[in-house]
Amino acid sequence: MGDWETIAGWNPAALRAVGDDLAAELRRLKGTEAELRAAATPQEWEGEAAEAARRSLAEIERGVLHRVEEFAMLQAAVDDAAERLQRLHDAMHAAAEFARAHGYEIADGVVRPRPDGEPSQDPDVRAHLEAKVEQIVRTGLDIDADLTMVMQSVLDGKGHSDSETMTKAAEAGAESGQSTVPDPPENGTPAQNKAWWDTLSDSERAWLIAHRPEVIGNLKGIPYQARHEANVNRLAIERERLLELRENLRDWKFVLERAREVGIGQTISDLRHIDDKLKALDVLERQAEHNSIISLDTSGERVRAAVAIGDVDNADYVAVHTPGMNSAVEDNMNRYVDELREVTQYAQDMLVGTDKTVATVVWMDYLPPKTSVDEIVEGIFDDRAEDGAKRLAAELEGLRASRMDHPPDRVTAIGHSYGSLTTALALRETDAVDAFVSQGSPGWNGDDGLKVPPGELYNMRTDGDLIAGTGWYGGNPEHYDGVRQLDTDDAVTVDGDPLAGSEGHSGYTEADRVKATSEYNTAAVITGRHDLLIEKQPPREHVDTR
Amino acid sequence: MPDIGVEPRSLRAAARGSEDVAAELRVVDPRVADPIAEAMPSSGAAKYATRVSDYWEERLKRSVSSLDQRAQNLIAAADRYDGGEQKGVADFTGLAPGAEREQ
Repeated sequence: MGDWETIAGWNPAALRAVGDDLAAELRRLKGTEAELRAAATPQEWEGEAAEAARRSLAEIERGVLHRVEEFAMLQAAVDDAAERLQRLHDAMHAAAEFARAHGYEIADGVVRPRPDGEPSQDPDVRAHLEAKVEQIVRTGLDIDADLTMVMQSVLDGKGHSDSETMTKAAEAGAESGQSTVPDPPENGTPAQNKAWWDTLSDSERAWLIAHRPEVIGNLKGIPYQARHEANVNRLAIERERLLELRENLRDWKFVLERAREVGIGQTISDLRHIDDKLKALDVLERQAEHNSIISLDTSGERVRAAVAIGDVDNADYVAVHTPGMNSAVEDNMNRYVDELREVTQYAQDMLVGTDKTVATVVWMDYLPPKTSVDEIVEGIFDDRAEDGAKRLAAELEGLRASRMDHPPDRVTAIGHSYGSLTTALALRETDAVDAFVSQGSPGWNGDDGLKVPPGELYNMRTDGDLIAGTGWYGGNPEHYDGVRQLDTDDAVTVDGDPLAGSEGHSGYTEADRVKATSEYNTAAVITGRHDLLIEKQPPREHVDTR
Repeated sequence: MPDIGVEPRSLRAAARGSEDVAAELRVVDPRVADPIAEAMPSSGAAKYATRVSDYWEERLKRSVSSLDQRAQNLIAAADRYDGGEQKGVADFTGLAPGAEREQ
C-alpha cells in the first residue's frame, strides 16, 4: 500500500477522540494537586526521618508533574494532528473530485486517466493534480513525523520544564506539543504552493499570516485574501524597518558600514528613495481600508505592489491592469485604483441580472522607467518590461493556480503604454488569460507568439495620443494582424446611451464618472460581452469627386 | 530532640493524603495513547503508541507504589509516637530517596 492509501486510512475523528481522552486523563492527573498538598510531611516534624519523608514526596510530586506535562504535550500533538489530518482528508477528497471532473483518477497516489473518462487535454490540470497529490503525501508524512517526535520525547523523558505547579506543567507540555507549521515548498510552482496551502489547517494559516507574513504576502498560487492579510501585517513591519534605516542613515559611520556591506550604490539608493518608499506605504495603508494589497515588495529602488478591487478569489471576471512609464506606487496608485474602479463598475453594470461579479487588479509589481534624467534612457530599451513580464506572467500563473478549483469565466490583461509591452511579453510566457487590451501602446512586437485565444487581442488609440503609434517597440499595434481596433471616440451604445470620446495618452480611463467609449469597451472585453464592443471604423477612403 | 513536637494526628493526615493521591493515580488510564495505533494504522506514531502507554503504565504504577509505601511509613511512625516510642526515625532512615527518582 502506498503513502496515499495509508494516509487515506488514517482517521481524524478517532484521533480527536484520543485527544479528548488524553484531556480527561490530564484533568485527573491535575486533580491530584490538592491531595498532594494534604500529603505533605508535617512541618513540625524534624530530623532524618522527616527529611527522608519530604524527599520521597518531592520525588513523587515531580513524577506527577512530569506526567502532567507529558499528557498535555501528547494531547496538544494529537489534537493538532487530528485537525491537520481532517484538513488533509478534505484536500484529498477535493483532489479526487477535481480529478474525476477532469477525467482523471488518483490510484495509489498516481494521477492517471479514468478508464471510462476523457481526460482533460489541459496540461495544467494534470500538473495541478500531481502537485496536489505530492503535497498531500508530504503533509501526511509530516503530520506523522511531528506526532512521532512528540511521542519520542515523552519516552526519552528529557526536556521536562520542571514546572512547580500542575497548571504550569500543563502549559509547558501543551506548548511543546504544538507542531511547527511546515514551510511552503522551496521554489514551489504556483500549483505546488496552492497544494501546500490547501493542506494547512485554519490555525496554521492564521499563524503564518501573523508570524511569517513575508512568506505569504507574495506567494503565488495561494488565496489573495491571505496574501492581503499578510501584506497588511507587513506594512507596519516595513514602515518600522524603513524608519529605523532612515534614522541610522543620518549617522555617517552607519552609512560607511552599510556601504561596505551592501555597496555604495545601494546605500545611495536607500538615501534617495527611503522617503518615497514611506510615502508608498502610506498609500497602500489607505488602499488596504477598502481594497486588497495582493503583493508588496520594498526591496528595490521603489516599492512594488498590486492592489485588487473586489474579490479576486471568487470573482467570475478578473482583469489585471499594468500601467506604464512614470508609474510609481507613491505617485499614481491612488489614481489608477480610482480609474480602474470606474471601469470595474461599468463591467459590473454589464452583468446586471446575473450573480456574476468582477474583480480587477492594478498591477505595479515592476519598475517601469521614469522620464527622469537617469531613467529616460532605460525607457528606450525594454529591459524593465522584460523583468516586469516575468513577474506578471508568474502572477497570472498564480491566479490560474489559485483559482484552479473554481476558475473564473474569463481573465483579461490590460496594458497601458509601456505596460502594454510588459503585458505582451508576459503573454508570450503564459496562456493564463483569455483577452488582452492594449491602450496607448508604443508597440509590443506584433501578435506572434502571444498565447491569447484568436480574436481576443484588442487595441485602442485615442485622438492626440502621441505615444501610441510611435512603434518604438516593434511597430504599431494599429497595424498588427489579428488585433481588433476598438473605438475611443464619441459613440453610442447598443442601448442608445451616449459615450464620451477620450483624448491624449492618459485619457483611456479617467475617474470622472463620465462613461468613455474606451472605458466601456474595456469593460465589454473584461466581461466577454462581444456583442457590446464598439470597434473603430476604418477611415473612409477619400473619393475625389472633382 | 528532633522529633519532639510532631503530632501523630498530622502524620496520619499526611498518610491519608498520600493514599488519596495514590487512589487518584490508580484511576488514571495510562494506556490512553493506545488507540493512536488504530487511528493511524501503518504510521510511525502507531509504532510508538504502545511504547508510550507501557512507559506511562510503569511510571504511574511506580508513583502509586511509592505513595502506598509512604502512607504505610507515616502510619507506622504515627503508631510509634502514639505508643510513646520515639522510633519514628527508623521508619524513614534508610528509605532510598531515589526510589522514585525521575530522569
